[in-house]
Amino acid sequence: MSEYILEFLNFSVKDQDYEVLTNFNLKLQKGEIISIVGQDGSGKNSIIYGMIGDLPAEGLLLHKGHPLSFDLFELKTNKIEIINQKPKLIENMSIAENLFLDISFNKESYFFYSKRKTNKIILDTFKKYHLNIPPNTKVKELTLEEKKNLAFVRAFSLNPDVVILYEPSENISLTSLRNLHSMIKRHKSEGKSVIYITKQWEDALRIADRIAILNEGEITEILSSDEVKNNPKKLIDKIIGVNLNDNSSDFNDNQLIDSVFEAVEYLTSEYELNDLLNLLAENTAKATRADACEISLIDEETSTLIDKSIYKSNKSIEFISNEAEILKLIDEERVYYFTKRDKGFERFFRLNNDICSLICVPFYIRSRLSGIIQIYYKDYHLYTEEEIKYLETIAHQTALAIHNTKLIGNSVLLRESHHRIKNNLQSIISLISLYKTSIKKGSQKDIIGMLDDLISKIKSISAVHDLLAKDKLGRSIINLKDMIIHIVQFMINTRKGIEFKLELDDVFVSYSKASTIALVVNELVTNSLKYAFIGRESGEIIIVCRYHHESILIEISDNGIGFPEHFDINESNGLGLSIVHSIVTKQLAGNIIIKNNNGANIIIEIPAKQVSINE
Amino acid sequence: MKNLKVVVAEDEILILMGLKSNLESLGCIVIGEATNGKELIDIVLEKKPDLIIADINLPILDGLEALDIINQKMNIPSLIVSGYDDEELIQRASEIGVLGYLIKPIDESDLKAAIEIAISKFEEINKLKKELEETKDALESRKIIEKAKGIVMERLQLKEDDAMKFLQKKSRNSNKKLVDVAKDIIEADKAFRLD
Repeated sequence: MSEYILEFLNFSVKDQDYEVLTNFNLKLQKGEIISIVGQDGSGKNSIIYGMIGDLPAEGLLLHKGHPLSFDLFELKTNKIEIINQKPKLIENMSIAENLFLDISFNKESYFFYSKRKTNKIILDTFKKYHLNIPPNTKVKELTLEEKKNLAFVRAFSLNPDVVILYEPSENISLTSLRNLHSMIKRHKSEGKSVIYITKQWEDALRIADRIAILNEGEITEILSSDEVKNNPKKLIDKIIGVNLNDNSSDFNDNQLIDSVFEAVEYLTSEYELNDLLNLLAENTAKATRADACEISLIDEETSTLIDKSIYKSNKSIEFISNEAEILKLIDEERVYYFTKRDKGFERFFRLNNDICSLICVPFYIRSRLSGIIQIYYKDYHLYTEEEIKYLETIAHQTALAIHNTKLIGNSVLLRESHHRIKNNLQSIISLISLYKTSIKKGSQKDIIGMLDDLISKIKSISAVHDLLAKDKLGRSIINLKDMIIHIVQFMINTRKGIEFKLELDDVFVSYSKASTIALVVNELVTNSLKYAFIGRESGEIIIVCRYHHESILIEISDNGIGFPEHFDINESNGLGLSIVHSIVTKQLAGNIIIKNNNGANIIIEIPAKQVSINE
Repeated sequence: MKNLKVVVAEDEILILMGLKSNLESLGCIVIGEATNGKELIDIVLEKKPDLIIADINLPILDGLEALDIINQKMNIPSLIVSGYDDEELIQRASEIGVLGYLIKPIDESDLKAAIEIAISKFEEINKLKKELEETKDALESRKIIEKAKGIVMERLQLKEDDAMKFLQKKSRNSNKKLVDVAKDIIEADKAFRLD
């Protein structure tokens, strides 16, 4: 037993006495995908013609070490399937019949199957290969693409040892191509082999384990795909048949090195992150001679785009990239390369009038995707290994820059929270001072009640802190909805029998506003709990918070005994209410209305855009 | 500290109310409350208090900026209140002429001590300033008199002692200050000089 599933030994093909394929030697292993890449006229099609006997051929074709004659039927019986550029199907028969002709290849019992049974087998097969055409459709009614898909499915469903594909990507859509590629990969995973003959070297690069380069009827080189993935220029040179010793690369190298130095300089200077990214984008574009460069920042938690910097060498270059699609792409690879020749290239753009090539390099912070550097070319650009190394260096630099900025951001946050703590402590001392003064003035005050009040107010300030600490992004924005729920939670137990009804929308305010609003809500709810239900078993407190026109509206009402007649908040000597009044009118530049409406009803309106006069 | 007229600036109303209560309990009279830097300037210029207490973190204009502007227009002692003891801020405050730097949280006793020190420092500074002014004036007069004496010596061909006696006599006779007599002589000398 040979270890090779299929071998071409000194295989030659002649067309009109002219040798179109010479000394073709290729050994295909089990579970291997070999791509034969060549330009038009390099002799690709003669391989097939020679194998099936359409053109006279010499040499040996071995299947598992056994020689085969050059004949289509012999190949098929030996589990070798060939799919040509234009699939061979019987036009006048249905899909089912076409397919079954082959599926039943080795099943002589075909004629005993019922139509219902065959249909079921076919539908199962279609389902397995994601093909969606009614099985009874006549082949002649199909589009070329559908025919090709049918041919692929027919070939792979036979589970042959070797599938030979000739220019499979022609005339089919991206979806079909992807489907085909997944068929090929599945085939490989089952230990079977594929020969993929194409002039689309990009496809070859994506799918093949090894790439054989066919040039003027001869295999000039067989490269492993890993070898060329990082340097496709090498592959192209080989395909075209030139072996350039690129002298111009010296100049380019210097420029790249200069550019890296420059980038390091940026990083150690005190630029803002945004400026830094703009500079990096410009620098990268210049160094790689790209027409545009874009650096996208990705949120590590949610993998969504946060921000991007873009540099275009010329303002007239028209394109808008589609980051969502580019993001989907990012997998394990270091580099992603696409050109307009690739199927589905346009999906990376929301608008594209100029771009022909796109290179993406992702970058990581602590092994989590943090961003992508994309460079764009107006022409079919071929990247070199140096360029990729450079892009990767820039990617690392960028990751560092972002990391740095985050650290700086943290220290700003730390300072900020220090300030908040001090201010909160001052607020608490202020409260105590006010109570102290109030006790001095009127000795009939209930000291226990005051201390409870104080405790409750301290808790409401801390409620805001809790919410702040929970924000993972370190923002100082508070959702009043969450805050009010928090406050109500610790007040609900202070008096039994009272039900809270909350009608809260998501209303966002800055931290400082939130903590003052917390005090206001706390005071008003405390008042209700303390005075509204004296002598009653049960009651209800309703808190509403929502946007109303340009304002934030907070309404707190109860169904208790209400305010005494002729109550005026300005003349009230209640300390709590005077604090509330001052905060709402002076600090928040809002209005407060206090009235009776089957109980106490307090409406506070705060301008939303300018929640404080002082901002 | 009794009846000291104070203007307080603080953007958080609750803290402002607390400070006011502390100050009143110390016997001060709070004659103005500001919640931003601009308001602070307006109130101070209008009410001319004996003392300003301002938070450093004020909107529109921060406390230090506002005090800087005020200090250029009038001489009022001031205290700054801040959440943190930042070297740079303290430096700035002292350059502006702030007399005390209070770090939150503060209570009545902190305020009392700071106000006492600020007021006494302020008085001391004022005293020194006055003395300095007087010394400067004296020095200036001496210079003028010396110059006039020189003119007299030259014109009347007198010795230094006699020239001085001449000036003193003229001062007594005309019932003018010696320095004014000297100024007259310098003026007259200018008028009669041909060159």
